[in-house]
Amino acid sequence: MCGICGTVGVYKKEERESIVSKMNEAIFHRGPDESGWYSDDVCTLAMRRLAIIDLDHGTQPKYNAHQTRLVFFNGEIYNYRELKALLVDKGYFFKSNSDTEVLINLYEEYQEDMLPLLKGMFAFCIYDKEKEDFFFARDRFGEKPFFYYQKGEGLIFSSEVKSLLENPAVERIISKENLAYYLKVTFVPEPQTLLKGVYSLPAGSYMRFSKGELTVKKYFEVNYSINTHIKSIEDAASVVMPLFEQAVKRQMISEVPLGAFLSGGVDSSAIVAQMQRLSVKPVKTFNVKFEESSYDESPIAREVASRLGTEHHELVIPNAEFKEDIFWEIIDHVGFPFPDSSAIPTWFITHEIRKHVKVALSGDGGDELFGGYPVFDWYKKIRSVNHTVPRIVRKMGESVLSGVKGTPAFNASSTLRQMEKGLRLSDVKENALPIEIHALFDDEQIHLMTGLKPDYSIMENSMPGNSDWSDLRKIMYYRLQYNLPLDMLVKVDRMSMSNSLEVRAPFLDPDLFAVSATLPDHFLRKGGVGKLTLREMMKDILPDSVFSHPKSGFSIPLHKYQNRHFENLVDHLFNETSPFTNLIPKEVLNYIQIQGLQNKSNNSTTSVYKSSHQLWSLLQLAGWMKRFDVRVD
Amino acid sequence: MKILICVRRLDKGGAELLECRLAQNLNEMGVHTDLAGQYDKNQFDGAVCAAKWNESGVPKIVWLKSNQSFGVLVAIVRLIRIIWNNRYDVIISHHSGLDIIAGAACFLTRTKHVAAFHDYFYKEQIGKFRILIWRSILSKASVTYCISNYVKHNIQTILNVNEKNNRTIYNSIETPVLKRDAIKNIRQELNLAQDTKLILSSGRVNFNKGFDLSILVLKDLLLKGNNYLLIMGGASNKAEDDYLRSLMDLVTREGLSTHVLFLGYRKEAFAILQQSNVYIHMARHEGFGLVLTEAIAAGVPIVASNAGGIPEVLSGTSYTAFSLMDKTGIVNEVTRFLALSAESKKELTDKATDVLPFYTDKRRAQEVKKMLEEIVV
Repeated sequence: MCGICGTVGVYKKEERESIVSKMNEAIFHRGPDESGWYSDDVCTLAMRRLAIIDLDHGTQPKYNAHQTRLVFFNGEIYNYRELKALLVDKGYFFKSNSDTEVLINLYEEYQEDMLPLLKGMFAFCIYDKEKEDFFFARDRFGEKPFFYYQKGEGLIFSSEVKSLLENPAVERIISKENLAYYLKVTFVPEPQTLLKGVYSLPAGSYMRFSKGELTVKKYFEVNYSINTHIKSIEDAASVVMPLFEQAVKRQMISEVPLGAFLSGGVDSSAIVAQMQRLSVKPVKTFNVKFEESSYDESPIAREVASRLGTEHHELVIPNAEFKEDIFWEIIDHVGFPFPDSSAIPTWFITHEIRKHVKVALSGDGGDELFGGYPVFDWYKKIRSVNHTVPRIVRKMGESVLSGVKGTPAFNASSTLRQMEKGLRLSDVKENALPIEIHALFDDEQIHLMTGLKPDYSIMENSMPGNSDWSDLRKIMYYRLQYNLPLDMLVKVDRMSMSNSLEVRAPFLDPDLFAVSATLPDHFLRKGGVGKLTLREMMKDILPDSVFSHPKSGFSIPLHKYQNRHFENLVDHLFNETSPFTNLIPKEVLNYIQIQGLQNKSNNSTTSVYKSSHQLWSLLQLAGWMKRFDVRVD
Repeated sequence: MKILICVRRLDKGGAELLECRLAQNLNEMGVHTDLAGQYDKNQFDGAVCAAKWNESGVPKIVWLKSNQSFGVLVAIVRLIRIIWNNRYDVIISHHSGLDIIAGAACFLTRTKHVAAFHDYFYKEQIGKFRILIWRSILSKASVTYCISNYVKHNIQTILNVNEKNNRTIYNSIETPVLKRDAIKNIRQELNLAQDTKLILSSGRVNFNKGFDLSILVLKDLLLKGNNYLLIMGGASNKAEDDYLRSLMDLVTREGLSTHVLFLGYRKEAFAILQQSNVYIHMARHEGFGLVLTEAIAAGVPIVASNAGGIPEVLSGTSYTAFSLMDKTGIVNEVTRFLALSAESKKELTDKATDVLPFYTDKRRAQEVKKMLEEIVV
């Protein structure tokens, strides 16, 4: 796990080296153990290394046998030993036991066809000195980041935006078109970002850059193809279990202390159970206990740890209270505004775990693969209303509910609010429905803030539409395509790397994903209960309490998190003269500020959750524009 | 006492041949037992097979001809005429289609009907309407019998069969198999090195038999050594072709091509069993697991899943039936067996053969005879 950066062309060598040095310094936290460096007349490339495998000989760059190609690599290749054996059979010679050396030789043998062979999380750069061309690739689900900016015939890239912006050639202008995406769903679909000209290499893609010409291609596409042989939940479990076990085993490869997150939920408990089965020593497990009791799942985690015999650590985080430094820390490391409030507890937990281990396995991806999110049922219900209830009846229902909107009874009833929203959304076209379900601001508000008519065609066009996938698979695809790489994994990577901790996600193993994609819907979710196959697999291994407690997210209730410091920051950032306050109309900011700070109970137009998150997302935007000196065109 | 056993075909199929051999054994015990084929004699080598079973001592073979237009009705009418003409006391049937034909004919002729169950099934496999008819037919049956307690429980749950009239009569293997010698040297045929460990998985090549899981077990074994060869033996039909293809893909994808061999259907299966070092059976569903009794007879150590009736078959041996969730346990057990000294292996496999007398055709025929005597009286 590391960070990479570089600049191709743009400046003369000496100036370029000085800039890349600064870029590399900005990602020091991603790899405090050592640095790697290469520079010639064409490019300057650098990296920071967090040594996990082959501690003594893993220094980068690694070269091919003829010293004509070299690689800088961020991530882990979990099956590198198998790939190395394959290459040794073909006559390749290795000087080290590092996965990086396997990468460069694999490229020698297969070029871009090497990518489907890799099981791991990665973003890397291969430079061919003779041809003066570059090959970049990113893992299937977007676990490791890669940003780039094309400047004339040159290219600037980095694992983090903060580092990219250390290069003065990168312009800092906000994209209003993409701002609409941010306000709507809290992220911008790849390859676009909130900055004009700054792109993110999409998950599951590779890129070639040669003499100023840039081409991007996908090497991995999500596909769901149901295995009709699977007739029972036991069948489903029998198909998944061996690959799950294999995935955990692969990811336990490490030469430094390794542990695991243990929240007490099904996903992390399943991972820990497998780790303990494969380990002779007690596995180190970590649970965060928030002082606020509504978050406390620690008794369940404790029970799991005791059942499995792990070396359990309980980390207590004091009452979640807003502190400005965490706010700036998040912006700094993500490099963009990041409204997912679970970044805060994630920062705390990774900070604490790093004191004990350098690598930790987590349950991320379990919900995406095995149907864990309740929103999947919500989407299916709306689609079902669309299919079964005539439009005129839906419209009548919506009118009736709109008529009582604002009454105390309506405000108090989440069922009535949901019904009204459901009826309203049932009219939305299929491809746009996932976006509307996850919407933070409505189109009218977005129009007011950006001055543009919102257009979400990038996302709408990428949805599977009338394919033969089920409604459940369609909404799962959305989450896998967008929320996972652009929210969940961003949070995990940036918060953990800011603390120099490597987090691995066995659920995102490509073989495990492939088998999960064959499961029939009724072995994923039924009757409001998700991850049925995972539950079946683990029912005799984990305590019942793991399965009986309701799913709880990692987000924090922002309205309770607000304190005087928070209000002061809002006041300051929303009222100072800045590009942000020039961008967003004053009356909109006032409205969002009032709603977000004073709205302590749900009402007819918005829930407490939503109003506080709307405020938080604009606060993040304001902070980001200030921190990185982002301008409006 | 005169019995007619209705089977789908007379040439092959585990359940079908078992019932044909039952007819042969009952006749040897002095119980007049004829056979009825569901289709006509031109289907599935009917005429040739009929001659073979005649030679084995089955007095008469009749044909229900349900492959003609209005098949089920034609077969019911034909069976009624056969019952009247031959004055059978009991009709035994063994499949949902035959249960319906035999049940209706027995009801109309007031003849005793016995339904045999050779396999488990899912509700989803069979349409609701068919289940309704089947349930109603079985409610009139004199008795039902199943090849394992697992199947017995399964049909009680799904078909509401009365527990009192539902029995377990375990499956059996053809007695001569137990004496058959290794007639072919598979190691020589495959040109294998002396130290190559043969791991065998066999049966119908379909999802339920879990061949994919055997491949993944092999993958883990290969982390411990390189001298393993997994042989997969068994037939598959067209409907199962996609599964077979998926297995081949899996082998290629995992880079196991030099360690896995798809042998297909082989007549000398017993000989291959005898020459294997370990037999692994990772079935997801199994009514009984006849192949395990054959492996016991062949003296090869067994590592099997705990699906369906398998734990019943292995009970009384030193073999463990593993949960499919416990791949590590399975891999460790295979490794342990492969490391056994010749003496320990003999001790292990000899002990297992203690259960074999329980699974002979003769024992089975005796139990069926006893049951028939009870209901005819």
